[in-house]
Amino acid sequence: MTLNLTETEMSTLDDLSARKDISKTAVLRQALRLYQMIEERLARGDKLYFEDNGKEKAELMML
Amino acid sequence: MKTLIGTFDLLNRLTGKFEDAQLYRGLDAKNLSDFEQNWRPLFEQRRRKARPEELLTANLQDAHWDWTRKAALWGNLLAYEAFTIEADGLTQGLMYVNKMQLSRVAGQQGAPLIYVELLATAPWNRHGFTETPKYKGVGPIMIQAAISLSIEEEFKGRVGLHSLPQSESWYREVLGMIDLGPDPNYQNLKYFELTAEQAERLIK
Repeated sequence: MTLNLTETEMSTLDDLSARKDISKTAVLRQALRLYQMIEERLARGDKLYFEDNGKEKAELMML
Repeated sequence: MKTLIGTFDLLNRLTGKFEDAQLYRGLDAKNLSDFEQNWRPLFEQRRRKARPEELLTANLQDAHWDWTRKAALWGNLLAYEAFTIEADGLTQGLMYVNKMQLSRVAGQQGAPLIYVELLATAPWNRHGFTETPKYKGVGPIMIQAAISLSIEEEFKGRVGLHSLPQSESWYREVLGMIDLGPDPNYQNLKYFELTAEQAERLIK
Protein backbone atom coordinates (compact mmCIF):
# COMPACT_ATOMS: atom_id res chain seq x y z
CA MET A 1 0.00 0.00 0.00
CA THR A 2 1.25 3.49 -0.83
CA LEU A 3 0.35 6.37 1.41
CA ASN A 4 0.11 9.73 -0.31
CA LEU A 5 0.50 12.68 2.03
CA THR A 6 0.80 16.41 1.40
CA GLU A 7 3.89 18.23 2.57
CA THR A 8 2.01 19.60 5.58
CA GLU A 9 0.63 16.18 6.51
CA MET A 10 4.09 14.66 6.17
CA SER A 11 5.56 17.40 8.33
CA THR A 12 2.90 16.73 11.00
CA LEU A 13 3.71 13.03 10.88
CA ASP A 14 7.43 13.82 11.25
CA ASP A 15 6.68 16.10 14.18
CA LEU A 16 4.50 13.52 16.00
CA SER A 17 7.07 10.82 15.36
CA ALA A 18 9.79 12.99 16.93
CA ARG A 19 7.61 14.16 19.81
CA LYS A 20 6.47 10.65 20.76
CA ASP A 21 9.82 9.06 19.94
CA ILE A 22 8.22 6.36 17.79
CA SER A 23 8.45 5.64 14.05
CA LYS A 24 6.00 7.08 11.54
CA THR A 25 4.46 3.63 11.14
CA ALA A 26 3.84 3.48 14.91
CA VAL A 27 2.26 6.96 14.82
CA LEU A 28 -0.13 5.86 12.08
CA ARG A 29 -0.99 2.69 14.02
CA GLN A 30 -1.83 4.80 17.09
CA ALA A 31 -3.91 7.16 14.94
CA LEU A 32 -5.86 4.24 13.47
CA ARG A 33 -6.53 2.78 16.94
CA LEU A 34 -7.75 6.14 18.20
CA TYR A 35 -9.93 6.76 15.14
CA GLN A 36 -11.53 3.32 15.42
CA MET A 37 -12.16 3.72 19.15
CA ILE A 38 -13.80 7.12 18.67
CA GLU A 39 -15.93 5.82 15.81
CA GLU A 40 -17.11 2.89 17.95
CA ARG A 41 -18.06 5.13 20.87
CA LEU A 42 -19.87 7.62 18.64
CA ALA A 43 -21.73 4.78 16.94
CA ARG A 44 -22.95 3.71 20.41
CA GLY A 45 -24.33 7.21 20.94
CA ASP A 46 -21.50 8.48 23.17
CA LYS A 47 -20.15 12.03 22.82
CA LEU A 48 -16.54 13.16 22.69
CA TYR A 49 -15.48 16.12 24.85
CA PHE A 50 -12.31 18.04 25.52
CA GLU A 51 -11.91 19.63 28.96
CA ASP A 52 -9.69 22.67 29.51
CA ASN A 53 -7.85 23.56 32.72
CA GLY A 54 -10.86 25.50 33.98
CA LYS A 55 -12.89 22.27 33.61
CA GLU A 56 -14.86 23.78 30.73
CA LYS A 57 -16.07 21.04 28.44
CA ALA A 58 -16.34 21.41 24.68
CA GLU A 59 -17.90 18.76 22.52
CA LEU A 60 -15.80 17.69 19.56
CA MET A 61 -17.78 17.24 16.39
CA MET A 62 -16.69 14.28 14.30
CA LEU A 63 -17.41 14.28 10.59
CA MET B 1 -7.54 -14.54 16.88
CA LYS B 2 -5.45 -16.39 19.46
CA THR B 3 -1.81 -17.22 18.75
CA LEU B 4 0.71 -19.09 20.85
CA ILE B 5 3.61 -16.91 22.03
CA GLY B 6 5.49 -19.68 23.79
CA THR B 7 5.72 -22.20 26.61
CA PHE B 8 6.81 -21.04 30.07
CA ASP B 9 7.24 -22.64 33.49
CA LEU B 10 4.69 -22.34 36.27
CA LEU B 11 5.59 -23.71 39.68
CA ASN B 12 3.00 -26.15 40.96
CA ARG B 13 3.16 -25.39 44.68
CA LEU B 14 1.31 -28.60 45.51
CA THR B 15 3.90 -30.89 43.93
CA GLY B 16 6.91 -28.54 44.06
CA LYS B 17 7.51 -29.20 40.36
CA PHE B 18 7.52 -26.89 37.37
CA GLU B 19 4.86 -27.49 34.70
CA ASP B 20 4.51 -26.22 31.15
CA ALA B 21 2.17 -23.31 30.63
CA GLN B 22 1.22 -21.78 27.30
CA LEU B 23 1.12 -18.02 26.87
CA TYR B 24 -1.23 -16.83 24.13
CA ARG B 25 -1.83 -13.51 22.51
CA GLY B 26 -5.61 -13.23 22.29
CA LEU B 27 -8.53 -14.79 24.06
CA ASP B 28 -11.07 -17.26 22.70
CA ALA B 29 -14.29 -19.07 23.60
CA LYS B 30 -12.36 -21.70 25.63
CA ASN B 31 -10.91 -19.01 27.95
CA LEU B 32 -14.29 -17.34 28.44
CA SER B 33 -15.88 -20.72 29.07
CA ASP B 34 -13.18 -21.47 31.68
CA PHE B 35 -13.94 -18.13 33.30
CA GLU B 36 -17.70 -18.71 33.34
CA GLN B 37 -17.58 -22.40 34.32
CA ASN B 38 -14.58 -22.49 36.63
CA TRP B 39 -13.52 -19.06 37.86
CA ARG B 40 -16.84 -17.30 38.39
CA PRO B 41 -18.59 -20.06 40.43
CA LEU B 42 -15.58 -20.24 42.76
CA PHE B 43 -15.57 -16.47 43.25
CA GLU B 44 -19.28 -16.47 44.01
CA GLN B 45 -19.08 -19.43 46.35
CA ARG B 46 -16.14 -17.91 48.25
CA ARG B 47 -17.85 -14.54 48.48
CA ARG B 48 -20.99 -16.13 49.92
CA LYS B 49 -19.02 -18.12 52.48
CA ALA B 50 -16.58 -15.36 53.50
CA ARG B 51 -17.10 -13.61 56.80
CA PRO B 52 -17.14 -9.79 56.42
CA GLU B 53 -13.61 -9.45 57.78
CA GLU B 54 -12.42 -12.09 55.28
CA LEU B 55 -13.54 -10.14 52.21
CA LEU B 56 -10.35 -8.09 52.35
CA THR B 57 -7.98 -11.00 52.89
CA ALA B 58 -9.63 -13.55 50.60
CA ASN B 59 -8.08 -12.04 47.47
CA LEU B 60 -11.49 -11.32 46.01
CA GLN B 61 -11.11 -7.68 45.01
CA ASP B 62 -11.41 -8.45 41.30
CA ALA B 63 -14.18 -11.06 41.66
CA HIS B 64 -16.67 -8.70 40.02
CA TRP B 65 -14.62 -8.31 36.82
CA ASP B 66 -16.72 -9.60 33.97
CA TRP B 67 -14.23 -10.91 31.42
CA THR B 68 -16.99 -12.02 29.05
CA ARG B 69 -18.39 -8.50 28.92
CA LYS B 70 -14.94 -6.96 28.53
CA ALA B 71 -14.18 -9.32 25.63
CA ALA B 72 -17.43 -8.26 23.94
CA LEU B 73 -16.58 -4.57 24.46
CA TRP B 74 -12.88 -4.62 23.59
CA GLY B 75 -12.47 -7.71 21.39
CA ASN B 76 -12.74 -5.86 18.08
CA LEU B 77 -10.88 -2.71 19.04
CA LEU B 78 -7.31 -2.24 17.80
CA ALA B 79 -6.43 -0.35 20.99
CA TYR B 80 -6.86 -3.43 23.19
CA GLU B 81 -5.14 -6.78 23.33
CA ALA B 82 -5.76 -9.83 25.46
CA PHE B 83 -3.24 -12.35 26.77
CA THR B 84 -4.01 -15.72 28.30
CA ILE B 85 -2.05 -18.40 30.12
CA GLU B 86 -3.16 -22.01 30.03
CA ALA B 87 -1.86 -25.00 31.98
CA ASP B 88 -3.30 -28.32 33.01
CA GLY B 89 -6.08 -27.83 30.44
CA LEU B 90 -7.42 -24.68 32.12
CA THR B 91 -7.04 -20.92 31.85
CA GLN B 92 -4.67 -19.89 34.64
CA GLY B 93 -4.38 -16.19 33.87
CA LEU B 94 -6.10 -13.44 31.88
CA MET B 95 -4.91 -9.95 30.96
CA TYR B 96 -6.25 -7.07 28.88
CA VAL B 97 -3.96 -4.22 27.88
CA ASN B 98 -4.62 -0.86 26.26
CA LYS B 99 -2.11 0.63 23.80
CA MET B 100 -3.48 4.18 23.85
CA GLN B 101 -2.35 5.44 27.26
CA LEU B 102 0.47 7.87 28.03
CA SER B 103 3.17 7.97 30.67
CA ARG B 104 2.71 10.11 33.80
CA VAL B 105 6.26 9.84 35.09
CA ALA B 106 8.26 13.09 35.10
CA GLY B 107 10.81 13.09 32.32
CA GLN B 108 8.80 10.79 30.07
CA GLN B 109 5.36 12.32 30.52
CA GLY B 110 3.21 11.94 27.41
CA ALA B 111 5.23 9.06 25.99
CA PRO B 112 3.08 6.11 24.89
CA LEU B 113 2.96 3.01 27.07
CA ILE B 114 1.14 -0.27 27.49
CA TYR B 115 -1.52 0.15 30.15
CA VAL B 116 -2.66 -3.01 31.93
CA GLU B 117 -6.44 -2.69 32.20
CA LEU B 118 -7.09 -6.03 33.89
CA LEU B 119 -4.79 -8.78 35.11
CA ALA B 120 -5.94 -11.79 37.08
CA THR B 121 -4.78 -15.24 38.06
CA ALA B 122 -7.26 -18.08 38.48
CA PRO B 123 -8.87 -18.19 41.94
CA TRP B 124 -7.25 -21.54 42.84
CA ASN B 125 -3.79 -19.93 42.43
CA ARG B 126 -4.39 -17.24 45.07
CA HIS B 127 -3.10 -16.95 48.58
CA GLY B 128 -5.94 -15.96 50.86
CA PHE B 129 -8.53 -17.39 48.50
CA THR B 130 -7.42 -20.93 49.23
CA GLU B 131 -5.08 -22.42 51.80
CA THR B 132 -3.41 -24.44 49.05
CA PRO B 133 -2.83 -22.16 46.06
CA LYS B 134 -1.74 -24.13 43.00
CA TYR B 135 0.36 -22.31 40.41
CA LYS B 136 2.91 -19.59 41.09
CA GLY B 137 4.22 -17.34 38.32
CA VAL B 138 1.18 -16.19 36.33
CA GLY B 139 1.65 -12.49 37.20
CA PRO B 140 5.34 -12.28 36.25
CA ILE B 141 4.71 -13.99 32.88
CA MET B 142 1.89 -11.55 32.11
CA ILE B 143 3.97 -8.50 33.06
CA GLN B 144 6.78 -9.85 30.91
CA ALA B 145 4.27 -10.13 28.04
CA ALA B 146 3.20 -6.51 28.60
CA ILE B 147 6.84 -5.36 28.54
CA SER B 148 7.53 -7.35 25.35
CA LEU B 149 4.46 -5.84 23.70
CA SER B 150 5.60 -2.39 24.78
CA ILE B 151 8.97 -2.99 23.10
CA GLU B 152 7.30 -4.37 19.98
CA GLU B 153 5.08 -1.27 19.79
CA GLU B 154 8.19 0.97 20.13
CA PHE B 155 7.10 2.09 23.61
CA LYS B 156 10.51 0.99 24.99
CA GLY B 157 9.12 -1.33 27.66
CA ARG B 158 7.04 1.32 29.44
CA VAL B 159 4.04 -0.19 31.28
CA GLY B 160 1.44 1.48 33.50
CA LEU B 161 -1.39 0.18 35.67
CA HIS B 162 -3.72 0.88 38.56
CA SER B 163 -3.27 -1.69 41.29
CA LEU B 164 -5.85 -3.28 43.52
CA PRO B 165 -4.77 -2.95 47.18
CA GLN B 166 -4.07 -6.72 47.31
CA SER B 167 -1.33 -6.37 44.64
CA GLU B 168 0.30 -3.03 45.49
CA SER B 169 3.30 -4.46 47.35
CA TRP B 170 4.03 -6.89 44.49
CA TYR B 171 4.18 -4.09 41.91
CA ARG B 172 6.19 -1.81 44.17
CA GLU B 173 8.56 -4.19 45.93
CA VAL B 174 8.92 -7.15 43.59
CA LEU B 175 8.76 -5.41 40.20
CA GLY B 176 10.14 -2.10 41.44
CA MET B 177 7.50 -0.04 39.63
CA ILE B 178 7.20 3.65 40.47
CA ASP B 179 4.30 4.33 42.86
CA LEU B 180 2.61 7.55 41.74
CA GLY B 181 0.06 7.38 44.54
CA PRO B 182 -3.73 7.21 44.64
CA ASP B 183 -5.51 8.38 41.50
CA PRO B 184 -8.65 10.39 42.40
CA ASN B 185 -9.93 9.82 38.87
CA TYR B 186 -9.72 6.04 39.25
CA GLN B 187 -11.43 4.99 42.49
CA ASN B 188 -8.35 6.22 44.36
CA LEU B 189 -6.44 3.12 43.30
CA LYS B 190 -2.70 3.60 43.28
CA TYR B 191 -1.12 4.16 39.86
CA PHE B 192 2.18 2.43 39.07
CA GLU B 193 4.55 2.77 36.16
CA LEU B 194 7.53 0.88 34.84
CA THR B 195 10.00 3.11 33.01
CA ALA B 196 12.02 2.05 29.97
CA GLU B 197 15.12 1.66 32.16
CA GLN B 198 13.29 -0.47 34.74
CA ALA B 199 11.78 -2.62 32.00
CA GLU B 200 15.21 -3.21 30.49
CA ARG B 201 16.54 -4.36 33.87
CA LEU B 202 13.56 -6.68 34.40
CA ILE B 203 13.87 -8.51 31.09
CA LYS B 204 17.63 -9.04 31.34
